[in-house]
Amino acid sequence: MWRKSVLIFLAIGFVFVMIGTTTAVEKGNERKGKYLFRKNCRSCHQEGKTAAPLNPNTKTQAQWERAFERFERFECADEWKKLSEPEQGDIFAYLYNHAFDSPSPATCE
Amino acid sequence: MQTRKIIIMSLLALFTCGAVFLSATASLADKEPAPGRTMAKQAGIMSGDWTTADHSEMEALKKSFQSGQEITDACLSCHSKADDQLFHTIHWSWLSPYDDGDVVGKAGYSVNTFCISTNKMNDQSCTSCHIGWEGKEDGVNCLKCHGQKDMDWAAQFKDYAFFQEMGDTEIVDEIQTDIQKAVVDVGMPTRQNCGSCHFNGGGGEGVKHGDLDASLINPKRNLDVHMGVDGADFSCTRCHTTQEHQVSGRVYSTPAVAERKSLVEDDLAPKISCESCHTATPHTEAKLNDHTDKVACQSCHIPEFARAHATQMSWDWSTAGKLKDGNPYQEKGEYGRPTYKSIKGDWTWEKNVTPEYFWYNGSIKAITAKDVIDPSGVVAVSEPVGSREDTESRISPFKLHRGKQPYDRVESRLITPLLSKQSGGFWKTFDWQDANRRGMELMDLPYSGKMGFVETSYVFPTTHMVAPIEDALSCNECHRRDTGRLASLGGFYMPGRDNFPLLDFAAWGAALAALAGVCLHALGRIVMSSRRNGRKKEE
Repeated sequence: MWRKSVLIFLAIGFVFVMIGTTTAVEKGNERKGKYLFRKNCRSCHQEGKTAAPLNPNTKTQAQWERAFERFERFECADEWKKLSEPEQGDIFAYLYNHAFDSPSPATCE
Repeated sequence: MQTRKIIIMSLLALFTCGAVFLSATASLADKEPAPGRTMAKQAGIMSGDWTTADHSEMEALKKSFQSGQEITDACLSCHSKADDQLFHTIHWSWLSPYDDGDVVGKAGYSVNTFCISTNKMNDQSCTSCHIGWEGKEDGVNCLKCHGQKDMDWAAQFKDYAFFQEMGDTEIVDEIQTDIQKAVVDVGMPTRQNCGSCHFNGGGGEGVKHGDLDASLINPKRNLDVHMGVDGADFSCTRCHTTQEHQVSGRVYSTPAVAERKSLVEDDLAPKISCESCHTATPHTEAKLNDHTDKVACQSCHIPEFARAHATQMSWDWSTAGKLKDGNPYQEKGEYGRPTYKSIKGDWTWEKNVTPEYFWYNGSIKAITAKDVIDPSGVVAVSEPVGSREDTESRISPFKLHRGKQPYDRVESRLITPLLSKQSGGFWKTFDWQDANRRGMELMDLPYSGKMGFVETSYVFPTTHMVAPIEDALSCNECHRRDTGRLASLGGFYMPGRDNFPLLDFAAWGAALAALAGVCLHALGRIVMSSRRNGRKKEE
């Protein structure tokens, strides 16, 4: 009985972990991400442009994760949808790896 | 009885005349714009698109560009004199063409209360605004000022080279297409072109100037009547006219204009002063025109600066270098702007700022890193030149930025620390001594190793963000006791602000005596008139 409970508990835990990993964005090529971010995001997310300035170090890693999970709520959701999943993953890799609480926080040069 | 009737009738007639006169002048003012506005509209009548070439049809531009210099070479194949002209401008040299040698200018020994110095352009992060592809090492990037597409060229070519090396042809083609599209999309500089540097001076948006920030890229008319997209929609070059790439309006030790001339006097005069288009007698009311020889137009027509975005008002370097858990940090305050950064110290920001007013003849006196300072008081790193006695001086509005920055306690000079991360300066090491030593070495100046912090000030003439006429200052903003805007300016008598008690007493006494005299005289006339009437009736 005890062993069965442990197994069920582990199985549930495993399912939750799997759900977590499937919803999180796959990290892609950071260097491509840097280019794609500049081309697709910074054109608006800059000082004096139509959206708030954004750099990798504007958010923490957890905040970037949340942003990529909930982008459909953003005003620019349509722009996001123009990007393929691998492209989104590339941008995510760049932003996540240089977030405010990352080992190498960065602004866009 | 008859006398009373006459007096009442006279008063009524006087009142009616007054009312008619006032309403007539008011309606006149409504219907006819001030002469200055009429003149300015005439001066601007030739506005419009004067382009006569389609650059997308130019053979020289139909090619693949591997570097920035290749773009410049293509431009120069037609505009053959342009780069030589540019090399003689301050936009390229970062040295004042009006001062001898290589002392005054960003590339010289000039200092300020912000990032202090570019260390003769050796601090890498400072040169991002330079109009060359790679600072002064490569050719002129014509597109920095003339490109109509907003593009980070350094990043674009860096990415191009990287993906070319990686063999990612899809991205390489994409970048090349973007480059080619941008190269043919050229024209006169827009507010975005000029603003990409001038709205971001001092290391960020709205840091340096109080009257130049990103809110002027697409401003409303109530922020700037000239540049407002719902107003005249001027680009910067409408006033900052150019000859051989020399852009008018630069102020160092020499004024922006040697002579204030209107286009009526000289149609080729630079349009940089208000008088150029509006003349020196722009107002309908003569009393207002009486001010223009002593009060700059900007003093009344720019009631406040930083009216859309906050501007930085002070920078205290003495608190820089604090760490949290061994890491640099920043704190944000009102307006969403940082109030503390480990790498930079404490900042204050303000919005809707009332300017400070000084006599100003158009010249700015500034010290350099070579000058010896007196650290016992506030060191004026820059200050306006002018006085009431100087006929060229006018009372003008300024942003006064206050600093606290490092100085050499032995040499009594301001220190020019090497700052940027790329150059391995203070922002990377948080080591003042190392940053100071290396920074002063680059300037060929001695450093004793003994650093202190001294309070400093820096001025910016306020001349943009001209408000609509209805927001111009009313008379009593200045002409009032104690709290007027010009309360701190001494050495002259200003009605409403100043008084001489004995003279006031004598004048009021004389006025009251005159009134009493008039009343007594009127009373005498009435009494005498009644007596005469009484005698006539008796007869």
